[in-house]
Amino acid sequence: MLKIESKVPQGPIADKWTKYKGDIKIVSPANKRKLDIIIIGTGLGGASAASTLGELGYNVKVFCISDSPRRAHSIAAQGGINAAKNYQNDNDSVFRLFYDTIKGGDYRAREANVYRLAEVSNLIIDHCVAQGVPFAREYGGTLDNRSFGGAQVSRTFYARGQTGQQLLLGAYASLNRQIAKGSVKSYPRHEVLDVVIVDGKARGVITRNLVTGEIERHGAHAVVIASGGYGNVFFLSTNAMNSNGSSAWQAYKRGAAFANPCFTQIHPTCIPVHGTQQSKLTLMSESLRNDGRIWVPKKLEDVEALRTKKKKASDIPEEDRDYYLERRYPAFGNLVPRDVASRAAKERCDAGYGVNETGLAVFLDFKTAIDRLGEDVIKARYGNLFQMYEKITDTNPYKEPMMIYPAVHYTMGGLWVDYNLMTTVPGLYAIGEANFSDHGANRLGASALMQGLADGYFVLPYTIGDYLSHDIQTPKIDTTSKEFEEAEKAVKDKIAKLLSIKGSQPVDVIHKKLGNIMWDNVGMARTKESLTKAIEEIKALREEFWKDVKVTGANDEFNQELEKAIRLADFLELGELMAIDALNRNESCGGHFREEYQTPEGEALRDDENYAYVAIWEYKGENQQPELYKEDLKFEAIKVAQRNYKD
Amino acid sequence: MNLKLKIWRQPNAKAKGKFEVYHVENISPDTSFLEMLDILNINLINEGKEPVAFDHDCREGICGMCSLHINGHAHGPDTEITTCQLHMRKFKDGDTIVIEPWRSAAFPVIKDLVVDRTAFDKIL
Ligand SMILES: Cc1cc2nc3c(=O)[nH]c(=O)nc-3n(C[C@H](O)[C@H](O)[C@H](O)COP(=O)(O)OP(=O)(O)OC[C@H]3O[C@@H](n4cnc5c(N)ncnc54)[C@H](O)[C@@H]3O)c2cc1C
Ligand code: FES
Repeated sequence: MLKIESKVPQGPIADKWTKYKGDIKIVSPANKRKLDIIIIGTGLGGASAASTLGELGYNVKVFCISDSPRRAHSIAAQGGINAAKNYQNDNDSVFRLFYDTIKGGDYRAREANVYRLAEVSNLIIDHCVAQGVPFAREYGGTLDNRSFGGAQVSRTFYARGQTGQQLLLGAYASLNRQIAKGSVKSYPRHEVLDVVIVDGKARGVITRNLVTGEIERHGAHAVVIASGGYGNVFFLSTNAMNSNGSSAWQAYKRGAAFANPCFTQIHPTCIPVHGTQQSKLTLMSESLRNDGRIWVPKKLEDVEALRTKKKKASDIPEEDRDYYLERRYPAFGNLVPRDVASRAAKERCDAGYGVNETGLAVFLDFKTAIDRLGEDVIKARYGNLFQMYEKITDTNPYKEPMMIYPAVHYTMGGLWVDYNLMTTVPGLYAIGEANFSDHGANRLGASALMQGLADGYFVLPYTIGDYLSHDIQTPKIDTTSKEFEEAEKAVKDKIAKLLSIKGSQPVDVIHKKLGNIMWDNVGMARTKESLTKAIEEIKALREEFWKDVKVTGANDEFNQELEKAIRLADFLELGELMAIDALNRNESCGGHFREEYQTPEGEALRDDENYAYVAIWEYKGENQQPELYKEDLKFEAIKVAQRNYKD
Repeated sequence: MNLKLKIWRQPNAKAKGKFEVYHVENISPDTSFLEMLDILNINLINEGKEPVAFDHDCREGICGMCSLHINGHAHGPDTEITTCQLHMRKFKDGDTIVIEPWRSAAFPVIKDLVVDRTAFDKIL
């Protein structure tokens, strides 16, 4: 029986965090030196946490899949990072950022966590500027901002279309300093394959050295999962190829509850799929919606002419274009939140107005902005994105509009954590995209970077101290215990099993099949039937995998097929939980759209009476139905309302 | 497009490497270079052979994980991009493409086209 306690402190929302920080215990420098912390991942969450905890004096070990911590998936973040600085004097505030985030998440996030996030957002900007992160500046030298979806203010800080890269290099520089000082030890090309629990507490991990295949044990007083999101369950997504859900999934199987697994973000502006040989999808940053206008033709004959290449977009006159977001949502226009924009694109394409050969694309047009501002200004703002678009599609977006279509991008669901960012397993924390905490059913653009860095720089370093203050008597963790023994054996057995199947299907072939099941049935539109079907199909595919997968090579070598097979084995279980969760939630909210539950205008129809809760799933064993727990969401600081982006 | 590939194969750091010749067929010009290697690898696995190891992650030209010397040029014939952003339309039907790992003593080969770049993290 799980005990679900959010541990949200008492008091008015604006005072909670300050008061709480004053109340919790801390660890003295002499004791910090004796405490070990393991961090899985070096994205913005992991790198910021590792550098900060190292600086504080803890002994930190940090693991990542890539050959250097600085190549983590966070590096790909393009558009920017939010903060409530109100530099534009457009009436922004901590409260407004908090409110927009709760509303954007369709009232399915925990109020106290989100308020804290908005509160520390301003510290992040100062901290990163001090690190030397080259945020875009105005001519006079002050920091510049742009707008992102779901907000009517400009609060997004950015470094061209390379914000994630610059933030990660900042965090990595801090991390490197700690590595040089010896407080952090870095293990690149090391994949964590299990979390070890001793006497109910997280006490270490089992890793595989990706170069030699060696299986290693590492002990620590606490373990932090910063391993990112699980969007790659869909095979095609905007995530990096090595992004995976395995660490979170292993933690789940070891007792950490998983929250809202079905909340997936489908991003409206990605380069459309070009064929079956495709390996990943490329995002075109949401920031483009500041200056780009989304449209499809009004007339079906123009659609036909476009598809047969008899007409170009620029041949279609203004009056024959349907700027459908501006038409449907006058107040927010092209800057509605992602879930709304994605569904609207799907609606137009389903109605037959898709503009490319596959019928699955809409235009994102910069003509109005180029006429207004000139090509140079647009180039300065989005140059690298335009170049990327041209390299991939071979068309020049300064001349013809981009073609875009929604794609899987981000997972709001993740490991359930309390106010301290601790999972249901004591000593096991989850930060960044790996946890569920702040974005409800839909994340607003530029809020993931904010959350990852908030967690790592400003929240975890305090809350983990409170936990560790009770652990200062615990000596170094003994990795020869039976728990480590058992976990290592389980990992080795699993690898041996995978290598012994020698079936007929390459890993990627099965992964694509899983992706198709997920996209068709657990994607942008879900129904009771599609979800029930998905559960059956995933089960069958899982069996097929364990009978027929073909993993080449051996364990004791660099073996990418084996790496992929281990991750896919977990995706084949996680995908099912996503479908189970989506089937349980008989409402539509944010990115979770159940066709049965919509307003007459086709908007998501929430059911606050019955579903204003976080769905928390507990693992019950292989092929067993997981058990559902609920954390009721109470909103004290804001009034819950139907989301309205029309007026 | 149909292509002939000459690829450096080396099972591990200590082994001696050599070029192997492979053929891929019906490659769409819109395919990326790494997707072309994915296709080759699926073929190799289906034929019971070892796939070619190569590094990659973001496939968006930003993480720096991909590498490769292609026809003697780092990241291939196109300009201002990394290998993952290179598309097959930059080649012609019937071309022979030579694919090697980074040629540098500082970056020893781990396997096939994968090299050890930890030297970078030491100097940063
Ligand atoms: C193309 C793109 C653009 C984006 N743009 C923006 C944006 O402009 N603004 C914004 O706010 N958000 C953006 N996002 C979202 C944001 O980038 C991510 O949500 C965020 O960077 C996740 O950070 P993270 O630290 O949680 O995880 P990640 O950056 O995904 O890092 C995960 C780390 O964990 C490691 N890891 C994973 N599994 C294991 C394992 N088993 N063992 C060891 N290591 C492991 C990985 O190697 C990596 O180091 C974007 C996302 C994408 C895909
Ligand atoms: S794979 Fe990231 S730069 Fe090429």
